[in-house]
Amino acid sequence: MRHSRDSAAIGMRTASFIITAVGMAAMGCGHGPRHVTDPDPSDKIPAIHEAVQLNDRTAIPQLIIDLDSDDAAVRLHSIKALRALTGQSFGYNFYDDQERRKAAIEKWRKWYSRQPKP
Amino acid sequence: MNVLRLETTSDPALLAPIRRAIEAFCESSGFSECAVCETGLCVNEALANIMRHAYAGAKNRPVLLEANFVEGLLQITLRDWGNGKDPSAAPPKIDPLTPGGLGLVCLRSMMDEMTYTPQPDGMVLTMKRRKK
Amino acid sequence: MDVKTASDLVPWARTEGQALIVGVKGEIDLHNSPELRTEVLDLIVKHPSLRVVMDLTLVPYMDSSACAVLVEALRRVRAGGGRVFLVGLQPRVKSLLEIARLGSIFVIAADEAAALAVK
Repeated sequence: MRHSRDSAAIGMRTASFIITAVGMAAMGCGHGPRHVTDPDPSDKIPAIHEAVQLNDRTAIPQLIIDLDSDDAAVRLHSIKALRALTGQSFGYNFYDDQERRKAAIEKWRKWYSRQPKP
Repeated sequence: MNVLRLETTSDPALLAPIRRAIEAFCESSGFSECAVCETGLCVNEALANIMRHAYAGAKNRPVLLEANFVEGLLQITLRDWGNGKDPSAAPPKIDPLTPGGLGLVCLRSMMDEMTYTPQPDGMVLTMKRRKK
Repeated sequence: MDVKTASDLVPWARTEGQALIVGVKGEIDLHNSPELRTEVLDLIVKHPSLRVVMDLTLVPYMDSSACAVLVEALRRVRAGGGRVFLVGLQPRVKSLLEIARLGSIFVIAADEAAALAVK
C-alpha cells in the first residue's frame, strides 16, 4: 500500500491511498507470451504487472498510450505501473473524464520525449 | 474536513485492508466504536457486491472509494466501472435462509442514507451516516 | 475425539458423543469464506451429527459471505435432523446475525458446555 498526500486546502486533510494486491498473477497457465500492447485487457493487464516486476521501462510508451484507454481498468493499471517505474504521476487520475485526463497525459508525453532513449 | 481516497481493485484479498482504512478514518472522525464497526461492515458489503455482481468475480477491475467527513456527516462513495446493474432494484430479502441480499440489508439498516446512481459506464454508491 | 482439520480457519474440531464441535478462527470475509465453507461442509459430511456446535470465540469479524456459510451448514445439518449451535459470539458477529434475522434460527449459547447441555 502506498500513501501520497495531496495538496490540502486550508482546513482540509486528505489522504490518498492506492491499495492493490501484491504479486497479482502475472504467470498464467497455458498462456502464450503476453505483451503490454495486447489489445485484450485480460492479456494486457498481467503483462503490465510483469513489466513492473521486471522493471521493464520499454513498456512506458504503451503505458502512456493506455492512459487514454476507454477501459478504466487499463487506465488504472497503466498509471500504477507508470508510478512504479518512474515515480511520477503528473496529476493523472484514472477516474477523471477524458477531458480532464488530457492535460496530465500531455505532461506524460512531454516527460517521455525528454527521456534518453536506449 | 477529513478526506480519504482509495484507488483499488476488485480483489477480495483487499477487503480487509480497505475495511481497516475506513474504520481508522471513522475513528479519527470521532465515531463511536459501534458506528466504526458498522461502517466498516457496510463498506465491506458494498465492495463485495461490486466484486461479485458488478464485476462478476474479476479481480483486477477498478474501484474508487472516497470518504469525507464534514460537519458531523460522513459520506462514502464507491465508484465502479462494472455492468451498471442496480443492486437496490432487486426484490428485498424476505427469507433469512435464502442466499443473497444480506449485504443490502446491512447497508439499509446501518447507514442513514444509501443511494445507487447509475453512470454511463458503471455505478456510484453513496452512503451517509451522521455522527451522533 | 479430535478430528483432523485442513484449514487455518478451522484450527480444531472434535466429536463428543453425537456432537461435532468446530472451532473457527480469524476474520472471515469474501476472500476466505470459500475456504471456510469447504472445510465446514467437509467436516459435516465426514462426521454426521445431530448437534453441531460452531465455536466462534476466535472470530472477531465476519461478513455476509460468512453468514452464508453458517446458513448452508445449518441447512445440511437440518436435512439430517440435526441442529446447529453457535457459541462465543463476539459483539460484531452477534450484531450481524441479528440484522440478518438469524439470531433466532440458530441456537445461540454462551459456550460449548451450555450448547451441549441443551436438550
